[in-house]
Amino acid sequence: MSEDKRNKERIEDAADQTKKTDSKKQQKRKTTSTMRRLIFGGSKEDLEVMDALAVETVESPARAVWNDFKARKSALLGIFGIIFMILLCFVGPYIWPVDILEQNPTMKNKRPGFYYLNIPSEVKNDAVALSMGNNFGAGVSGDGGLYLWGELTDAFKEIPELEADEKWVDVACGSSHIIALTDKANVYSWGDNLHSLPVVPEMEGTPIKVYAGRWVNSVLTDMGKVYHWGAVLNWQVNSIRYSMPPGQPGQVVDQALARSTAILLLENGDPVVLDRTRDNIYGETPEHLLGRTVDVAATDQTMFALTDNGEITAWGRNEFGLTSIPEEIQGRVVEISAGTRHITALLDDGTVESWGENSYGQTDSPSRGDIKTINAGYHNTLFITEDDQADGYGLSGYLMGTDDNGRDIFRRLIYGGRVSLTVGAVAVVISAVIGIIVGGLAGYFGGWIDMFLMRLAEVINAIPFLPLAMILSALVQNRVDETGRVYMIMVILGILSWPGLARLIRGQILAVREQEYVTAAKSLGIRERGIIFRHILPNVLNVVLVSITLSFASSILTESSLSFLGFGVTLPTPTWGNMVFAASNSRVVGEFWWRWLFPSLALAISTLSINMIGDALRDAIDPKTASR
Amino acid sequence: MLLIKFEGSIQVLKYTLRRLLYLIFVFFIVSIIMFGIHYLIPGDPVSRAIEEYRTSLKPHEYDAMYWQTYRAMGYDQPVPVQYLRWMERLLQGDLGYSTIYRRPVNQVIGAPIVNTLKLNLISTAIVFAITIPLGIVSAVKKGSLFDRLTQGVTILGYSLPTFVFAILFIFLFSVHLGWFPVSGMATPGFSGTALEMTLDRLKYMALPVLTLVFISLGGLTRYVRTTMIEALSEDYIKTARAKGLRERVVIFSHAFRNALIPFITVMTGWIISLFSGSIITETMFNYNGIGKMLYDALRQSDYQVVMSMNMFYVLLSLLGNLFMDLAYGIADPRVRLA
Repeated sequence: MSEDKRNKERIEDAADQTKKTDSKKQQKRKTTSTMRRLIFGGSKEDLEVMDALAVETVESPARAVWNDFKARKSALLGIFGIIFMILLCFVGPYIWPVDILEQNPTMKNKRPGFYYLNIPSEVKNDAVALSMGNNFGAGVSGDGGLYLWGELTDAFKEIPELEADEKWVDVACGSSHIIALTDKANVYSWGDNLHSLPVVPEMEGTPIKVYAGRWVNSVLTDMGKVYHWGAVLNWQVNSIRYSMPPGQPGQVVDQALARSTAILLLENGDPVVLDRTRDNIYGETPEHLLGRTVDVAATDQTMFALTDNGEITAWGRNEFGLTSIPEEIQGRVVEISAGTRHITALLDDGTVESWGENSYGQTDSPSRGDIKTINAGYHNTLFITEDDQADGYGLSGYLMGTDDNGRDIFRRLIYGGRVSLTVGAVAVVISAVIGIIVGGLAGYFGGWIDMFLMRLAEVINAIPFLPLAMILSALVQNRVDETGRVYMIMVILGILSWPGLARLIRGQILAVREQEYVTAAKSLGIRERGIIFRHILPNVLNVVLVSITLSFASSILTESSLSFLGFGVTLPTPTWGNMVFAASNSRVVGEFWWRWLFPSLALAISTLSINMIGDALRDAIDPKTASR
Repeated sequence: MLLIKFEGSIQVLKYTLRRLLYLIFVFFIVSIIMFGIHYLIPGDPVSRAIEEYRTSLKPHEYDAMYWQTYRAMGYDQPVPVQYLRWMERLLQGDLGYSTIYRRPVNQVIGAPIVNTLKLNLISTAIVFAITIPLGIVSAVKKGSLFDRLTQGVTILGYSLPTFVFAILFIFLFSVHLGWFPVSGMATPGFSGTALEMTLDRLKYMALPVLTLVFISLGGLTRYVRTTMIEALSEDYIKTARAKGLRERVVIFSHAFRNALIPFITVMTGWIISLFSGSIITETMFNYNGIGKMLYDALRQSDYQVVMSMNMFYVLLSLLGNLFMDLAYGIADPRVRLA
């Protein structure tokens, strides 16, 4: 192919392209102007033609409505409210991710508020030992006092009385109990009485350190022995067990408790995982750690050991990226400590680094370089600085509390809001499309079509809505999956709620058809289609808009009622309706008020906002009913 | 004059007859739809009906009984015949057999209907007693602080779902203040004089009534207000005022009586719905009404009850529509029935 020919083709191509875009633009302009006219009435350009005839400044009806609408405070409030809810529910899940299947029984029914890390000033300014439990913490201050914070039950507050010259030296928190040690080597445990936790066994040697796991207590003595009791390692309830495995040489100098086992650190530098779990999920302890380990840590299912060269080795299950240790910290680590799903490492420059799960900010480590020691537990990391200041980061509380499965209500609420709002919106769109088509056909054609369509509307309208929706959803109960159910609810809602709108549109079209301006248009010889689209439809559309707005709110309400009755969207997919349903027995209503109050409020704000917009719109369109 | 009136009533009669025909037509269409849905429901109604004999009878006896019941329930017939049989029984007032109660539905349905009627009568009386004066006052004082306040509060009434009100009232009046029992119909084992019994029952009714009142307040108050505002802006009100009538007379004799016309339609619908019961309210307060009965039937797959009650609802809503239109026409002679 010669150069010329190619160039020519290129030019032709370009010309073609321009032509295409031109025609596209024209088409677009045409459709947009039709759309605009449909919604906002005639444009200024159109009016300019009529300018010579105009006696006064012409304000299109839509513009007048818009101005009137804007002037209403309730309308603006409603718009603000609904935009807020939409943003919250549709952008929120990206900021606060939620796994709807996740449950955490130890966190069930927690009060709303951020107070899990409110360390009392006595400890905050002069800390010796810190420990974090599930959602409470305990600390020993420099003068030997023991202080608690977070969600404290009455059982926690019964701190044993000490004699005048006795002081606390160490403390550890389990998920619902506390164990503490005094300088006279007395060990106390209180809080939850399960599994004989408060019964301290006879021990060889003097206790020097206490540990607590989920319903497990443990003490390390100066003879290098550890004792575990409570729901210990192989889950034999109420057994007291000397847990130094027989045949293992050396003495224990430290340990870390995992969910169902412990990792011991022996004097000779060996890490030993107590191999008592039914299925050994941790595998073999890496060979190179033997004799070189200086610190150990354990999350629920992952083991960590720190070797004398400052490097961390992890083994066990790799959940939440726990075993991918950041490269840049290897060789600089001096201490490690782990919660249930995260681990924190203290580096040689006094900074900390956390990784693992971050749904509660467990890994949002502070950027300070004066940290002396760390103690992570459950969803938090506590630390003591060089001048004995105590602080922590991680889960500080729940904005709206938790439900009976330990799920964060706030996160479920925004996820559920997305479901509720989507179901409402799609249902309204379906019903609006059917309603407009049926109403339009019936109103425009009249005669037997009208008669047939209106009888159809009557039939649909006569079907009792809630019972029928309940039957239908009971019918498909086990045949479709969760997503299918959500879609089904949308379709049922949409298909059953169009008759009202259809009737409204039919009535409006009948009324508008008789208006003088339509007669005028007819007498001017404007085509039928023009009359329908330019004169009748824009005038009907206003009413339709109001009706759609108001029925959006009622769709949300109906969905929530259905879900509330257990026939709509079912758990675990949250919607505002089934969240309230889950909290609807009288004991829960009284004791755990946050479980129903917040979803109800979210529902109320949304429907209220939509209704306020709809009301203002109606008043603006029909000044006769206006409140002013 | 008489002739015009006569012609008018003939027209009303013709209209009523035509509407009745439509009504019957729609009723049958809906009944076919409902029967179709009923037919789709998975499960074997025959084995459900004779489940109690499964263990006590020998296999071949059970088998014989199964087929006997199968025939007795009419399942050997083609579907259209089954529909006709069902319709025939329904029209004769036989609502079927409840598998939960193990009795004909007719025998079970009496008490719940009476309970629902009681509940709805009390709440409706309270609703009208509150909404009519409230609506009138806010219409007359349109734009005042009182009006705006009522508008604000009433929009809450129809923006919140029933169950939120119910839970709120349980929380406030049962759990916190301890004034009323949470749920039920009467204190178990309670005995006393007739007055004491009635008071006890009323105490149990308090929260359901309160809930029903609150959910209806919003919409109805706004309705009264709108119709009153419309009536007050009519020319005859100006005339009445120009005549020098006292404002009270203008409002009550002239405006309100005209505002009543659209109100009648709402009221008729209301009276019909007295029978229907509220599923959510009755379920939440464990009130043995017709709504709760339907809910229980659905939960426990007692579909005969569900079907007959749904047809009952259908009939109620159709009749309600008809009465509403007729009442409108009778109350306002300007309305042409066509």
